[in-house]
Amino acid sequence: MAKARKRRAVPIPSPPDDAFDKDRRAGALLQAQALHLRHGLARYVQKVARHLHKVGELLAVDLSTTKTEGQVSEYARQVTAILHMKTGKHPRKYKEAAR
Amino acid sequence: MPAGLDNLKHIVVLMMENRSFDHMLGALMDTDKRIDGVDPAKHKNPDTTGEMIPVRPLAEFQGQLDPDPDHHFPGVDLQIFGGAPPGPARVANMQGFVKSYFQQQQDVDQSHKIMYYFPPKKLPVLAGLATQFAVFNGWFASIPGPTICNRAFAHYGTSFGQVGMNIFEWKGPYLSIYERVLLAGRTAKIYYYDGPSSTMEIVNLLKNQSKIFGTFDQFLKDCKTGELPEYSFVEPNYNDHDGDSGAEIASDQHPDHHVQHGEIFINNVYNAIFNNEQLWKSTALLIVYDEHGGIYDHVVPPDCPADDKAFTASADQTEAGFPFKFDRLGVRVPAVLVSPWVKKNTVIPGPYQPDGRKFDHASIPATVMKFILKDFDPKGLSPDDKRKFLGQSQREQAADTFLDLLSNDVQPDDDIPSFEIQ
Repeated sequence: MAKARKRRAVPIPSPPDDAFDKDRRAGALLQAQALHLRHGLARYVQKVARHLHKVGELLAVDLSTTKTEGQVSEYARQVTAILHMKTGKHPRKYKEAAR
Repeated sequence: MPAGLDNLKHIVVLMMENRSFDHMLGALMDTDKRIDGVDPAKHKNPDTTGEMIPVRPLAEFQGQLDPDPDHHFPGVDLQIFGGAPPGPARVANMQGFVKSYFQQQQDVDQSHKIMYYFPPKKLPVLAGLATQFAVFNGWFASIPGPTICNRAFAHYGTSFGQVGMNIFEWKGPYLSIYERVLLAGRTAKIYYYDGPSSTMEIVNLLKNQSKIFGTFDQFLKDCKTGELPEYSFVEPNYNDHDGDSGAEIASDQHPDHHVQHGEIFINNVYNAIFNNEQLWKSTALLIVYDEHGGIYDHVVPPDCPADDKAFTASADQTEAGFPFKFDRLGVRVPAVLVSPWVKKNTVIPGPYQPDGRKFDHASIPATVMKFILKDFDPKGLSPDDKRKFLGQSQREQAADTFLDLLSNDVQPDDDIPSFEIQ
């Protein structure tokens, strides 16, 4: 069993629970944060809109005309990219760099 | 290389909110004259009646600094220059704090409270860590302005010409320190407290690099399991809200949040690292505040090399009637470096003391780059990735770093404080 690590005890007071007030008026920082969050959301909606436009195009493809392996693979490539899309940018590929 | 640096595997930065050095740690000068702290005989500010108001050890945990003191660029300019009009002849005198706070409410008595500071016994965690490990006499906010642009210096080494809280979209050229660390094949994360508190770096990082984020619960787990990234930035709880297990009380210490809850949060971060012995011996924890929050400090912020020419804030942007080239630091803030490899009771002299040094939040990415580069050679990167990895703003290039504070000797556990709630 690992030896317990003892430190030098310093007593500190317990802070009061009555400090909690979620009805406190939000200050300038929190109001700015809310604006930044809304901006991020608006950008996300633009990204989703472009995404949905592409989804619509792919749903509209008449699969009876997709006859060759090449055509199926191209369709698969485009749909897979949509289904695997994460929030935000596609993650940058970080190679395991040599140390 | 000192053993402390040889053993270093993790840097953790905890950035708190809106308190000045004199307000939080200035009283330590009573017991250690190396600390450039408060002196009621010397440190005074005129109020609007002309009376000189001294610093006093009367700071309260909550309910005192309401309304929130002004910490935007024009307000901080008044605090630093005492109201002198802009021009090459004006001299910083740190005489405008009471006048600035008076403007919030036109209340003379309330304006005096901006000069109040905490005696150390009211801040046992922060003061205890400052005396056990290393305290900086000369860590300044990166710019004389508010939170978001100051935090940007910690993330990017620059605020891209921003002096306020406006939304700006990153257009380059400098990557955040997290992206640079990841380019080097290493690990980095921003841990925000929880969803309702979120992060302060939303538009450019949360939006586009969601995978570099985690919550505070994850930080605690990662410390326990030894999976902490090589670089971590921790954010406190920015607001009071209901959580899954009850009330979550704000812990950032931004006025008018209760200062003791911030003490507990600092203690939780410190304990999480200490309780994993391997992590404790391989981690440097920097506890720092983003800006002074409009609260008094006596040390004149020094000049610094200007940031990139493209990053000048116009007179319209500063709202102070003059442009700003990011060639002057903001007001001094508390900064404490915790590591068993730091010599006990280290005091790093400030810029006006013998062997003086100055630090600001650009020192954070500058230090992380030095830490990563100590055993990483970027020549393995593609030319484009190498250019992005090595790109640093003028301010970051000029910033001092703090890895030299790690020594060959380790403090024994039985002398390390354990802050226990009574």
